[in-house]
Amino acid sequence: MQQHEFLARVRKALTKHGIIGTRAKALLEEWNDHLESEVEKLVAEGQDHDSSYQDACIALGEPESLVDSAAKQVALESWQGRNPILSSGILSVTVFLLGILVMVGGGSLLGAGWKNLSDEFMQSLITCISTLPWIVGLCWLAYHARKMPLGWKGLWFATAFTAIVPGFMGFFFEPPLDGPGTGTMGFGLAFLPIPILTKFIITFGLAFLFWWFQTRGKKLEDGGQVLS
Amino acid sequence: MLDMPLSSRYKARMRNKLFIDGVPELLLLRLLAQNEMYGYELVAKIHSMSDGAFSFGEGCIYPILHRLVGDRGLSVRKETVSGRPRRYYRLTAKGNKRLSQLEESWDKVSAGISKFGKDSIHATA
Repeated sequence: MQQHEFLARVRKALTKHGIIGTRAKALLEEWNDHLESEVEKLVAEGQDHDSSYQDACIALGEPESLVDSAAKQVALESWQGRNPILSSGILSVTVFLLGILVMVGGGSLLGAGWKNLSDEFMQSLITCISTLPWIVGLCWLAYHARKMPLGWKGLWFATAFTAIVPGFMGFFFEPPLDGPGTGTMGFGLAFLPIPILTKFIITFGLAFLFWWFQTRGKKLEDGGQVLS
Repeated sequence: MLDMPLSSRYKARMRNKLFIDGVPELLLLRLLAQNEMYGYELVAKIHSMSDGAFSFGEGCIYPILHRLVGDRGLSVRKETVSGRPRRYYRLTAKGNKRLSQLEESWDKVSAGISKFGKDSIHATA
């Protein structure tokens, strides 16, 4: 493998892991210096330049696995990595509050402007507001699946939480047709428009998909034995 | 251990986790307490001094160094060597304090483990 090919693969893997900007630049410079220093050492020991590059690249490891271990270390070194329970708790509360905020905001807007909206549009808006917390929950689940801040337990907790809490939450709105104070608006259990069972199937289906995606490589490496 | 309250068990587990994760950090800080060094030099030194027992890998060492710089435990000086940038790391006063903390933890664990030496266990049995 040539040096430029090695560095190009490292750069690509870094981007894939979400390590970008100055952090990626610093790591690239360190690994490049590491590679060159190893080559200089091997050349000084009498090896030719080309084979030294090959050996130095082999010693440093496959670019993807090198970046993979660096990404794990970067995640461990982050504030979230050092305080997984606290950060995950804060994140969960933030996501939950965000869901509520979306519903309250959407509901307030609907309450203020319902007169200008057609029935069909209003119904679509109610559907949208009802479904948004669950969508936010799915995004939270995807984040867990990507970063795994609390490992597998955290992922399945996020799955169950998303399926139950935002999955059951709904928004209802009755316009004040008979004058001020006659309409109603609030949040509660929702069984429609997307049935709860469908939400459950989608949420757990997505979590299983993430699980399969995350363990696929390990399964191949460990002869079918999934490591926790 | 199971008789301990949950919070204490969590704290103990986190302490152990932090301790295990802190081994490469301890070695890096110890080496940098002696001299200013750059990444490759540190990796090579750890490998040679431990007779290959510790090989944390280049993927692991550099993020730790960068985090220590971020925490102001290390200072960094950039220099161009043979046309490429190289970072030299040096221990700061804050890093020295961190080293003392890690050494203290290490001494406690090390003393604890030594109590379980073969001779001690045979003597108790």
